Amino acid sequence: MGTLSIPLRWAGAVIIFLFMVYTLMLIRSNKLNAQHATSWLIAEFFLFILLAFDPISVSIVRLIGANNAFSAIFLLAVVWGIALILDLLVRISELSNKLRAVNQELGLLSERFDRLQQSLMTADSDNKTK
Amino acid sequence: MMKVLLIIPAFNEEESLAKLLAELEQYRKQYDIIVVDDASVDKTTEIAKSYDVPVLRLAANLGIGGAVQTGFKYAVRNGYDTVVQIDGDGQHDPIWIERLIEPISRGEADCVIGSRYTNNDPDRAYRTPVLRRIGMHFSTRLLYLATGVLITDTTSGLRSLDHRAFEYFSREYPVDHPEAEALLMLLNTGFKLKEIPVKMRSRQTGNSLFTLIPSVVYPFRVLVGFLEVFLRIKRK
Repeated sequence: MGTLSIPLRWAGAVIIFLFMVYTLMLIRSNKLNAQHATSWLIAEFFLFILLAFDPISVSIVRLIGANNAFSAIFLLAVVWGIALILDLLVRISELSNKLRAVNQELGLLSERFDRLQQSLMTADSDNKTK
Repeated sequence: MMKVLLIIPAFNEEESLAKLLAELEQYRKQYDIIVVDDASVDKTTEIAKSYDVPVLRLAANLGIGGAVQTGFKYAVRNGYDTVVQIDGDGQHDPIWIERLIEPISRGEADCVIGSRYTNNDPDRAYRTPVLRRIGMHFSTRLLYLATGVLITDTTSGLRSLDHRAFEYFSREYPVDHPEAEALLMLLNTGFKLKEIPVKMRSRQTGNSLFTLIPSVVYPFRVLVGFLEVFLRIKRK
């Protein structure tokens, strides 16, 4: 059963670790919402463990019946990628619905504001005439 | 007496809108008017206000569906009985308004569509671009397949709706090119539809939403929209 070579595993683990640090920095600087980043962080952490600890990757390869570590990681990445994209699409749909509702409410309120302002002006001019 | 609201969605229609509002002046005693300005960058809002017509100005462009739905929400909140949707591009002649309302006031239909293509009285003077005609034919056939009801002008934006129908649409309404999808939603939920023959004018100014690429993509959008209506849980 083929596993990844040690330099390749460590290179991969370092890259993933740097991505994790970068993700945390984005959260710290308020550029990334922690709720939205959770699934991404979990996936990064899982990939890091998989690359850093050979026995774990070997067990996973055995568990899913893959020929080698490459195909096992590829399969897991594809499944996770699909789940992540679906999750993001749901979030985008929810947000666009909310944005539409807010936009419409704003339009309705500004019309009401115009109407109130006009009636106040009319009342004011009526008072002045009296 | 029925309280009727004319909803005019408009996006960068300063020239056409001015003409349309001038024509509508004579109807002001019978009907209320609201213009929904879909985040225009021209003077659409100012034009409407100069005619003393209230404006629902959207902060961001929502497309025709989002704009019309804002009008429906306004109608629900202000207790209207019937709404008539008229495009701000001036293609819809106000002389048809009364005929659109009649079947609703008689309780014959929940939604009345002004059609250019009825078999008994088609609008022969109106020239429909080829790509748009293909898209319309596709949506007409698809709607017929899905519901068994033949609506000859599925893309007509000249429509009237009773309170039940626009209250339903104030809660959910399709966004892009919503006309055919909205008809499927109504039929699928048990509303009664009726078509009346009308004559429409050609657009004089401004740009149509049916340019080359949207026209090509339109059948696909309709198909996806129809599938969405069937997949969605029904809420009447």
